Amino acid sequence: MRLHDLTFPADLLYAPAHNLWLREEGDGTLTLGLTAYGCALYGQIFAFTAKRAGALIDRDRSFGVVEFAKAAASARCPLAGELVEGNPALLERPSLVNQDCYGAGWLVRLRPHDWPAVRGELLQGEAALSAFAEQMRLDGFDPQGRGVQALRKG
Amino acid sequence: MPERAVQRVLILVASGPSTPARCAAPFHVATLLACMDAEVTLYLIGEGVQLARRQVAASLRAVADGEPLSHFIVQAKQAGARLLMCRQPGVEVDPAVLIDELDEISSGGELAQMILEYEKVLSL
Repeated sequence: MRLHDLTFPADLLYAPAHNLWLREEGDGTLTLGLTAYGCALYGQIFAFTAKRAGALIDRDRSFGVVEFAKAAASARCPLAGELVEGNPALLERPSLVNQDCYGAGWLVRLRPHDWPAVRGELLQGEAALSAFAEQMRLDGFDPQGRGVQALRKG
Repeated sequence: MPERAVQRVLILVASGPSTPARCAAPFHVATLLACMDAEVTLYLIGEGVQLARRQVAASLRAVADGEPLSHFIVQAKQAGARLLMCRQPGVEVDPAVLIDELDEISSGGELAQMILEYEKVLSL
């Protein structure tokens, strides 16, 4: 699936307001990562620091901090859970997020609380694309300049 | 069970125009802490009080050709940090010369109270 030249793999779940993708791993955990849209917003990422393994993350609270050119932003979690691990590869190579955001550049693994209840709130396929299109409109995203009027979310 | 109560961090900013290379760091650290959901208060004290002056914030740079201090102040505020400034007894300050990002001019007693109450206190 593509939107403004940005790729959104059809097999992933999405939380468009958080600019995150999620993948079920079959062992009760989820892998979370930044979407191509998130990468377009931030530009070159200089560092991602996850909270410590074992941290309990409430919904809409920070699971880490993303540092990019001249600024930093919270990576906020669309669901509550326990942080299993941050991607250790990003400590040495944070640019993996930009290079392969749906693969080697994943951000964290999380063990969700009450997964059956929250899974239905995540989006997939055309529903996800529509939500990202609306999010881009709200952000004032300029697909040509890859900039936004309001980058940071509270 | 891991702790997830919000931690309060107080950052005392005593650096000022005489040491420009030190002035951006407190605000950047505050941004990172706020992005990690800490409740952050920046407290300008001593020479750091000068950083609340519009002209100083707009012109002071930690590195040549870098962003002015005001950029780092705005980042910290957007991330959720609070910015206080110490009231200097006997010194009249015209509010018009102060930056919009300043939340409050506070007393030394209030500072002492925060030092005793906050989980972490940094001096930068």
